[in-house]
Amino acid sequence: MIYKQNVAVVTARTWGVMVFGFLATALVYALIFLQVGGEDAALFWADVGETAIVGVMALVVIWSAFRFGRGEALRRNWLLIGMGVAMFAIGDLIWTYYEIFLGVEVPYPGLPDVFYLLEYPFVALGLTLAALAFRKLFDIRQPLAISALVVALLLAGAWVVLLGDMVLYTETALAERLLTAGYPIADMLLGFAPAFFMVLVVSRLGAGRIGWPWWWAAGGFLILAATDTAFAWLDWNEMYRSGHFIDAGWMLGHVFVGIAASLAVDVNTHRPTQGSRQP
Amino acid sequence: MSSICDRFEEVLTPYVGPAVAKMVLRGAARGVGKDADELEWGDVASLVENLRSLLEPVMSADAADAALAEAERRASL
Repeated sequence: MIYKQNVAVVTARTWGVMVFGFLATALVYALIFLQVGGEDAALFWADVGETAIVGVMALVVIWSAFRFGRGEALRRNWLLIGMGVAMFAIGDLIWTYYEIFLGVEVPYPGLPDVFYLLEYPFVALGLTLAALAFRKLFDIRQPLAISALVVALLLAGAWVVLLGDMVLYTETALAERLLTAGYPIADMLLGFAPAFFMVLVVSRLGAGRIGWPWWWAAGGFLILAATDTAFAWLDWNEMYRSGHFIDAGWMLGHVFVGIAASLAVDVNTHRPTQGSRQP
Repeated sequence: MSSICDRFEEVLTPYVGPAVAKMVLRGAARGVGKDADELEWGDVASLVENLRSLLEPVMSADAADAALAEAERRASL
């Protein structure tokens, strides 16, 4: 009889996070896109829907982190990522409070930006530490060098296409210009770079299951970095409108991260399967 | 490779993929002063300790312990 390796199974919990996340994102986006209930209702769904989805995903990630033992590297890494997602959710909550409950324009730069920007260092640290942990298994210098080179090229390209104009445009306040340019810069340095580095690292694992969650997490942060950068470009060129398809990006990216965290618990749970010979 | 190495590789491959499983085993075997294909039953305890220190930064302690116990059990058969 061929021995079947004990396998980690994708649990109903992870499937549940996936189904909830994708359906909720599709529903909220449909409500925004179709302007169900008018413009004010669409704004309500955009703000409240995104806050709820990102908030749930923050809880999923933090809950998952605590499934790992005290002092374990996986607990620390997922907790950092969970804190990052929670920062974004708090930013969304404050944004929603201003826009929906107070009915005023959200200050820019304002308090939500503090929390939105705080997501970057937490996530960058969590992802980078997780990717660096693989250095004991194989040489990670090549992925590190490639991701640094790609990010440098992207930053140079972004300066030409977007950032140069943003920083040098003198008709708005310096703080606003720096913040407007700061988002895409942070997206590339603290979002895209660690996520791309992680992709290059886990690609070495082939189908190895400890890489699965990191594919999802890196995918999520790549979606978020692309969404933020696209938003900055569209907004700068006055082409952004509420209901644009990139609105779904912030929700979808965080859903990917929630799925990743739940999957991390699954693949790190050892379960005997049918076919295992007992000692 | 020795049959001991094969047994460990079977267990590690689903977690880290075939290429990295081979690489990790080579590294852990070097830690006990041997090539992977020279491993003997007497080396297993040290091999397991070396593998644990390599795997724990990227796997939960429970999963690493269970996988290594399973590999050790298979190697003993």
